[in-house]
Amino acid sequence: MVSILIPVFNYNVVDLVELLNSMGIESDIPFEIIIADDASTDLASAKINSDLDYLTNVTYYDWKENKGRAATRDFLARKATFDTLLFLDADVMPQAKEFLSKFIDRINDADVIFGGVAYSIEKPKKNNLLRWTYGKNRETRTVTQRCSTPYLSVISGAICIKKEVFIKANSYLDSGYGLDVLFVYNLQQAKAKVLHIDNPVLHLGLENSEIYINKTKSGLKTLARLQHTKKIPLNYRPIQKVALKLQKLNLASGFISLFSKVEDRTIKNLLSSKPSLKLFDAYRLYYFLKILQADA
Amino acid sequence: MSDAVLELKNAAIFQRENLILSDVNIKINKGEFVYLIGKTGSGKSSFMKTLYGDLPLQQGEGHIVDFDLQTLKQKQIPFLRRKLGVVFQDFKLLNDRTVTENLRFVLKATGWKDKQEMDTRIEKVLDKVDMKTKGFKYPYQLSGGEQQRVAIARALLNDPELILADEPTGNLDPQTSVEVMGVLQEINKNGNTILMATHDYALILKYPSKTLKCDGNKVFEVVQKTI
Repeated sequence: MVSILIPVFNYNVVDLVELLNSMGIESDIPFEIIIADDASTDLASAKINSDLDYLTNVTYYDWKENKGRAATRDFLARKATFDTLLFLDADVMPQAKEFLSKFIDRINDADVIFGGVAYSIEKPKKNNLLRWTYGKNRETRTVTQRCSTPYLSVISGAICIKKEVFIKANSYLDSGYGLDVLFVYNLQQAKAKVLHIDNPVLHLGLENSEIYINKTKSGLKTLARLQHTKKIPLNYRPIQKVALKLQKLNLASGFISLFSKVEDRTIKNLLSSKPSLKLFDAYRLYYFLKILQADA
Repeated sequence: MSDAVLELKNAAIFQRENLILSDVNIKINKGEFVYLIGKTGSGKSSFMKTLYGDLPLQQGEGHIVDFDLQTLKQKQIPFLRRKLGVVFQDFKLLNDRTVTENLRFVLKATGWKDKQEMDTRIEKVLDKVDMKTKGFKYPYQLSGGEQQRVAIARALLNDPELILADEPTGNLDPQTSVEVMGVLQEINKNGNTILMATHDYALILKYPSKTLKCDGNKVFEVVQKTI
């Protein structure tokens, strides 16, 4: 018995819902699909998604003001009929035919199950290369790799999770971008049992590089705010650890002033057809240190 | 075996904790065409929602196409809905795919697999609503009346035991309403049982049939001249 929950913002989820619905019917597992539209501005796709509730297993909700992903997911969890939730972001697509049952079969073994994220083998057009390169090299990880950092390896856009565990870990209903780190930290604090399996979704919604850089920046702002307000420890994520080290060695200001000289060239590379992840890491560190310095 | 496809005894219809309709005693037999009328806010919508499982039946007895509404579990609702064909005021057709693809979408979603069987079924239901030649069109390329015909065809896909039509002519002009009504009448003549919620009294006068009215928290049968 599973409630499949899809938060949506400006994305057509017909293909995703069609696939999930046929999987549900085939598997004979009692299921429902709930879509929540967080005030999409693309009214054509919102209209199409809303008409999906013609399907008997599908319920659709929407509202006028944007609440953010955490609040939308909280809403969905509370509307769910069943205690097992499967959260899927609107821009993913399950890969395995037995996608649903692979989760359901293991639900008694864990509080949270993550099956991994995959990226298409085919190179996207230049505009989307940064997101694709990052995803392919950093987010596509084997079960063994993920198990080495079980909590930080969870990407919440495709997880199977028990309702009460989710609601507790997601209790921070902020509209900021990049709150996943707090979510997984809360899971860790609650000692939620995380299971990593091989059951990936394909991530289709690749932002163009400029938007992705901006989202990354706003994620780093969130990260700084979370550590500033002591919601997460100072050394939780690898980038925090490096920043902390540089600060301790009094090298942070030096790094910022050095890197500012190559900032423009770095951005140029990130937007190019050969974005370098090493430069992206350095740029993120630079930006993160700048926020920390401004906060201090 | 009774001929009833829908029967409510001493039922009360609630919207959350608010009592909307009480002492509801009605019966719809196989093959009937029944209107449900009443002003906005009289409880028509809550009544329809209770029938397709959107609202629980909290008091009284209710049976619909062999399902007991009083003990209906959430997980049974999909199975109940497969025996019902539902037509809405706002059509609910997917604008990003053609008429044929819309119908195939619903067939697949209700467990059909064989392509040939699906194509045959789609052709058959489109023929029933006189839309056989429009399968390649997108919903937005069709008039409101044509879209509603497609929606009716979609409701027929799984050969439902009861069709619930919730204000099916509510978005249509009078002339088109009459045409869509003609389609529903035709389908009824071919053996489908239909319960249609409407406030279009002109239609009822033109196509008289058994009529239930929601008024003052009650549902009762009315004879044609008093409505």
